Amino acid sequence: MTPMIDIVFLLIIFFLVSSHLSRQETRHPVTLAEASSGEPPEADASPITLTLDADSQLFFGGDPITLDQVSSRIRTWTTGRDADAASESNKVRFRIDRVVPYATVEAVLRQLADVGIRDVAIVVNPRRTQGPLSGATAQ
Amino acid sequence: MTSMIDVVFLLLVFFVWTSSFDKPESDLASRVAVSPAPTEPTEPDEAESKATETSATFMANRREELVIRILAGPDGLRYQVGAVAIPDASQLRAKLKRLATLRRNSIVIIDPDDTITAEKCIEVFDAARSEGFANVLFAVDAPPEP
Repeated sequence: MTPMIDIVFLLIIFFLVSSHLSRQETRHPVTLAEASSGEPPEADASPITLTLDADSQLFFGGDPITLDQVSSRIRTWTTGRDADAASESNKVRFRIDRVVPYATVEAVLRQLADVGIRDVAIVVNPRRTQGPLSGATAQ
Repeated sequence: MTSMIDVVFLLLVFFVWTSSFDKPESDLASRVAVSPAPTEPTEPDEAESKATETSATFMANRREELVIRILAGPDGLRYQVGAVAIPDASQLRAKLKRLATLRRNSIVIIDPDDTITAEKCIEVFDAARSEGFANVLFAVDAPPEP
């Protein structure tokens, strides 16, 4: 009896850990900007995650892609979920490294707009302290 | 005793493995503002009455928009809210605070220069949201005509 419980316990651990790791694999490490007005991401939604790292390399989930592939990847993604590519409910989480110039960001946003996605959430690290643009001078 | 140590060890391995050492992330809800591409002029006789109406709506929409430009100057960043130039960040913040009391429902469009880093763009974005503007967007210029 005891060895069976051991095995079952190990199996439970294995599946919990593997599901946890698969959730994390879309998080390509980038240094995000900080902002104080962010909201926690919705837990149940499964939005598309795009990441733009410091070398201006774009990632769709965990896969490196080029700028031209953005629209086709999003169309494939929405077709796989039986959804309309231009639907209002499509949401993209966009993780941008803080050093990326806006020209690169704008190019990606334009690709998203071309597919019909307008709902883009910029992912940031929450900030506790006051930043350079928030301050006592405003009073 | 040994079996208890086994279990404790397994629990320890489990929690170390599943704990996330990533920083927490939060979302800044936004939308993409695409500037309208220049359109061909339509037939004048038919479109005349419609044109005045459209331009009236267009102007009404324009009034609701608040465009913040972020410009790269020789000595740091400069800002421009509508047509008003603002030399530094603290004055921009004060300006946003005043505007937020008057026109809280305006759509704020942030249009940075190409070389401005994402961090600076997000700072202005965050400042606008913190002052109470609900609709803050990043501007995307229409693609150049081929």
